[in-house]
Amino acid sequence: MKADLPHGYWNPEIELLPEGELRKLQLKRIKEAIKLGWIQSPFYRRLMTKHSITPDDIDTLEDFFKRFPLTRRDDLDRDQLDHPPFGSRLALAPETALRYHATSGTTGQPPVKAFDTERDWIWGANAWASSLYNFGIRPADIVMVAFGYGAFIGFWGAHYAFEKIGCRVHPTGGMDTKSRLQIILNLGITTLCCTPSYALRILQVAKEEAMDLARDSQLRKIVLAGEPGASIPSTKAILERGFDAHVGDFMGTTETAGIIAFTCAKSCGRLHINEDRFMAEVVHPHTLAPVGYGERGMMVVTPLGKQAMPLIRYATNDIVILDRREACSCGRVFDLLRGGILGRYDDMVKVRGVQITPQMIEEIVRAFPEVAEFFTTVESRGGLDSLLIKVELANDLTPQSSLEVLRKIKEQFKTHIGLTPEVEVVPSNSLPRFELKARRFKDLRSSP
Amino acid sequence: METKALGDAEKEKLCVAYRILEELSQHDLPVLQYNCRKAKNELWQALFELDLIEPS
Repeated sequence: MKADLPHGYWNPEIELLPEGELRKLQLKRIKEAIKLGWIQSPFYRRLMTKHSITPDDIDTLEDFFKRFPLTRRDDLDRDQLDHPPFGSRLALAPETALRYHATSGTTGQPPVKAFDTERDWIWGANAWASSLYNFGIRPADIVMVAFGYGAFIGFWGAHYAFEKIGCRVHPTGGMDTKSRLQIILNLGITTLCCTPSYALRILQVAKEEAMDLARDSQLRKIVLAGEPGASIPSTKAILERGFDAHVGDFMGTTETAGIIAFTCAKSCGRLHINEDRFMAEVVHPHTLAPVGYGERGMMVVTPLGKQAMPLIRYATNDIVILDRREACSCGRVFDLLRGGILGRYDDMVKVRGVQITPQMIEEIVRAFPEVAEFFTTVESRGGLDSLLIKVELANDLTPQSSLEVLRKIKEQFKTHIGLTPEVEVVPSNSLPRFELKARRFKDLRSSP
Repeated sequence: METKALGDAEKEKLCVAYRILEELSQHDLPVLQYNCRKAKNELWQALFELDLIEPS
């Protein structure tokens, strides 16, 4: 049985501040970011001029929330098209860059190209390092980072952060899953770092190879990022059971770099926002008015301390619910995201009047251990919108048990979402597998 | 281009900086300990290349 995670604070000087002091620190850093944008970033100079504001107009956090306009992903895309390759957001010349990276582009939009100065790079890696330490990573951990080490920033920051803490890191870019499994077993890996989809894939291949990672491996910490799965209760339960390990969710975006929110060692089911590195707000997606604790809304973030590419009030499109810090017993001043990222507003679709997100579907389907993989489409059939779920089932099920699983899946959808899907069994290994960001949902109604 | 030689005072500053970082890399605060350890090892490399420190 896995031991408790070690509890500690990366930076107690900040993490244990009274709330008022934290807000003062955020305001100071916001003002610095605005000043940098005004003086050195043509993109932000134009935006602020258009909205008739100067840095002197932002004296309080309320001024900032009320007066400073949002930056949206479309604004970044358009700016990079108009001013290739990096856009006019740059506050420093590209010659100052240490690294280049890009978004994964999985949402169908063109990848956002970004670069970091050396200080930016360390800033991003430290946002990871503090989050990992606060989750319970320590120098004795032996880590496998399982991703491709390409232009997608993904786990680069994690790699450097693990090294900074003093862990032994095994990069495994380009390896297949079976090779990675051998490394996990032979080199005593204690910590796996990857996407939730890939962690599920590792469990699946281990099962096919008759390996029991909960019994035979030293894995006790699973660090997940890139997708919301680690906070989807049914997915998290599969991973905790399969690895017999603590599962941590680490949420970030390529546009901001770094880790915005993390699971702490107390694992309360919520993610602490790194509030000394990010100003996070939750707003109504249409009115943009702030929403209170416990209410669903869109997360808007401002990274605090970035140099080369300032980003101010970035509308992430992520659906979140803010909780008060007291909901976690760790004592940090940082507020919480209940259940992590609950979905994305741009992934939300309406089927027969019901609004659904891919996360809602995953939460139901993953609760069935008999389901090995799934894929969902929304289609128009006979003039009616239909939700169609293709599932791969475990090979050892009898036809009778398979039918029973399908019936129960439909029943759960009816109960929890108010919609009965069509559920179809497909052959094993016929659905796509993912190492990076999974796309298990497609709305075919808009296709020609 | 003429390269300015490293003076004794500068050499001393480098060695003092290294000792400070070495001390802080033992600090209880993780934010100090881990960042200073990395900085200390970067500086060690410069000192080694300048032959101001012995590998140990």
